[in-house]
Amino acid sequence: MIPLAINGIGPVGAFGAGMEKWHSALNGNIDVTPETTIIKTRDGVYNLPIFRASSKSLANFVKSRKLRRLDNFSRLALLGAALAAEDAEPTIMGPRTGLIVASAHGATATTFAFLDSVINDGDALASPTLFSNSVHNAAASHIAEHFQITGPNLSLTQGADSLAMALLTAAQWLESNRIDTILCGIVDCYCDVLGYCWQSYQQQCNPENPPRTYGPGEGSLFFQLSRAEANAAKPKYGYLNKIALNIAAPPTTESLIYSRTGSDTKPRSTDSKSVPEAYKNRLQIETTTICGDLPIPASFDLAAAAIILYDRGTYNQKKTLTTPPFTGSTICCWQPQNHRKPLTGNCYWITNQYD
Amino acid sequence: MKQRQKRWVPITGIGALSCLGLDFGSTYAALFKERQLPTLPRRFKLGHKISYPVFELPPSKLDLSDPREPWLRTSRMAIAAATEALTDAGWNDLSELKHLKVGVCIGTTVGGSMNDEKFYRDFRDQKTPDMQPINRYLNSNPAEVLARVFSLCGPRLTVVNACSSGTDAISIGAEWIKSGLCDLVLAGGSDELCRVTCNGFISLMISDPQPCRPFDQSRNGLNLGEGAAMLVLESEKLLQQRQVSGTNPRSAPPRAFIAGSGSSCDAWHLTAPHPEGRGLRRALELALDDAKIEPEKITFINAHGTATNNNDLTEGKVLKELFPKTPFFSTKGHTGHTLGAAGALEAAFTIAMLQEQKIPQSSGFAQIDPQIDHAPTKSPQTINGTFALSQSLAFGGNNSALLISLGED
Repeated sequence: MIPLAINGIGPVGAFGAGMEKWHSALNGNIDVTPETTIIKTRDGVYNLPIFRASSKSLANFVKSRKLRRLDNFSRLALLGAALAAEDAEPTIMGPRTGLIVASAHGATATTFAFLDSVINDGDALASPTLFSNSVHNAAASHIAEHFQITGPNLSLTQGADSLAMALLTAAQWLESNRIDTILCGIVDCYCDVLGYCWQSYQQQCNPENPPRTYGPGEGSLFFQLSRAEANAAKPKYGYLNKIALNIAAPPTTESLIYSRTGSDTKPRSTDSKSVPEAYKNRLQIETTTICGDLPIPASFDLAAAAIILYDRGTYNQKKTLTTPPFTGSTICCWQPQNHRKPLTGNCYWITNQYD
Repeated sequence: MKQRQKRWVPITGIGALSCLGLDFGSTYAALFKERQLPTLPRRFKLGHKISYPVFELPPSKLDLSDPREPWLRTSRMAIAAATEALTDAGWNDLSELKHLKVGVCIGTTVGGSMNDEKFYRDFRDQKTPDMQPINRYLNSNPAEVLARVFSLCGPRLTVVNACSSGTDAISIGAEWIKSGLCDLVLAGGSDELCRVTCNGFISLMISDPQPCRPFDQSRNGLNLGEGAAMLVLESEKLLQQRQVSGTNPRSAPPRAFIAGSGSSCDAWHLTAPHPEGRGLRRALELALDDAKIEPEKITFINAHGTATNNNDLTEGKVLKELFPKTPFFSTKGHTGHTLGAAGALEAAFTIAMLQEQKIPQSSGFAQIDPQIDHAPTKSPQTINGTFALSQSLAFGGNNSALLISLGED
C-alpha cells in the first residue's frame, strides 16, 4: 500500500469527543464513569458497566432538525466524521472525496427496535423509518449527505479486521487516483442484546467470573487521510505506512503498542497474565478503562499512536499506557486475532517520517 | 485472439445459484425461457392481509435448518457458488490456492446483520436464550467463511453497501488484483430471504403483491429474491504461470475481463435516488473512463431495474440520456431483487451474455412509461459487441457500475 498522510482524527467514546479529550484521557486526566445496566444471563444477574458515548456535541455541526431522523449509530458515526474533518481543516468534500464506514455489528439497536415494532404491533405495522436506519450503510448515507461527499462510499463489516480492511481500501482508492482525500472510520453502538452477549461470552471464557471494572463500550473513530507526498508539509499525525494482515508475530525492532485485545467472538482479557512474555517490555495500551470493550479497538490504538507521535508526550500513565515511554519515530500497533489458529494478527505501522 | 488492455482484470470462473437453478448454467439458461413467477415464501410466514410473493431457491439441502448448523444460509449459498466458480476456473486441486495470495470480497445485507428473531423474542421475554444463533451470526461473516472453507490466507472483506454490495465487491476485488495485493480473488455476493427484510421492504411500501414489472408503466414495486454469485478474478501473471505449468485445464482464454468500474454517492437521501440520477451518471462516466472506452462501444446494459417507481424512473432517464441507442434490460423479473447478491448475479449474467452474444427480454415489461420514454428489450436479441455495463443503485444513494469486456479484436 502507499503511505497515507493522517491529517485529522475524530474520536468519540465514553471519554468524550475530539482529540483534546482523547489526549486528556490517555494522560489519565479524565475519569470515565460507566453507566450500570442489569443484565440477566443463564448464569445469573449482573451489574454491567457500560461505557456509553455521547453525541451531544453533534449539535455543533448539524442542525437539530436534521438530527431527529438519525439513530445513535448514525449520530456517533457522523460526529466522528465531523470531528476528523474539522481536525484536518480543511477537508474538501465532493466527488474526489471518499467515505468508508466500518462496523463490527452495524446498527443493532435500531435493528432490534425494528423487531420491536414487528413483535409489538404485527408485521403489517413494522416501522419503515426504523428499517431504513437499520440498513448497514445508513450511517454512511447520512455522513455523505451532510458533507456532500459524492465520491465512492463503502460500508463494511469484517469483525476485528474491519479497521485494517477499511484502511487498505482507502489506500487503494487513493493509489488508483479515484479520490484525493477520504474520511475512513469505525463505529459501533451498545444495546442490551450486545450486553447480554458480552456477559455470556465472558462467562464462557472465565466461569469463575472475577469482578471487572470494564464492560462493553461504544464509540466511533474517523481518520481524514490523503496520499503522502514527499514535498508536502508533514501531516498533523504523521503517516500510516503499512498494514500487514494475518502475520504470525509483530516486528521486534520498532516501538510496539500491544493492545490487549481478544477477538470478535471472544471477550478480550485485561488480565495482565494474558500479556505474552515477549510483549511485556513494549508499549502497552489499555483503553478499556476509558472507552470500554469495543469490537474494533485497533482504531483507538492507532489514534493513541498518532497522538504519541504528534507531541512525543510521556504517556506513562498506569491507567492507559504502560512503560517504557516512547522515544523512536515509528510505532507498530499489534492487534492479535485470537480466534485464528494458528494465532495471527494485524499490524499497523505509524511513523512521523516520510518513507 | 482477443486483445485487452493491461489493467483489465481476467475473469476465469463463474458460480451462481438463484430461484432459477442451483448452478450458474441452469440459472442463466432460464433467463431466455418463459418466466417463472414468484411464489409465497416457503421457509417462513408473513402476517399481512395481502400476500407478497418472493423468488426463493428451489428446495435443496440448503433448506435444512439444523440448529447446530454453524453458518447462516447466506454463507452456505456463498460456499456453493464459490465452489462452482473455482471449478469453472479450473481450480480442481484447491490445495494449490494455499500457495497464493487469495482474497475474498463478498457483498451481502442479511449475511452481516444480527437479527435472529427467535433469539430476540426470547431475550425480550427474559428467557435467557441460548447463544447458538449469535455464535452462528458471528461465525457467518461471508468473506471469513469462504476464506476458512477454502483455507485462503489473503485479505477478506464483506461489503454491506445494501443493494450495490455485489457490484462494489467485484470492483474492490478487481482493484486487489490490479494493485498486486492478490493473485486471485473470489468476488461476488450472497443474500438469503428472511422475514425481517421482507417486512422491511413491505413497510417501505415498495414491495409488489404481483410479479414485478421493471421499467413498465404499471410497475408497483419489487419482489425480493435470494441467491449468490461468485467470480474468480486472476492476475495476468498467475494466468501465464498456470498455462506454463499446465495446471489450468481451460483451453479457452478467460471468460471476460473487468475493464473498468465506477462508484459514486448521490449524497441526497437515505432511501430515494437523486431525481436526476447525479450519482449514477457519475458512476457510469467513471467506469467508461476507467476502461478508456467511448459510450458508443457499449453493446448492452444490464440495468438495476428493481421495478420500484423511483429507481426505474431515475435509471431510465439516465440511460436514455447517456446511452439512447443501447439496448438495456432488467433480469429481476426472473430472479427478484437479491439485494447484496444482485450486482454479482447480474455481472455473471452480463459475462455469459457477452460470451454468447445474446441478451434476454426484460421480463415483466409491456408498456412504456411516458415519464421514462425509454423502453427495455421486449424479446431476446442477438448482439455483436465486446463491451457491456452492469449497474447497481442502492439504499444510501450508492451507485456502482462494472464495465465488462470480452477483449477487443
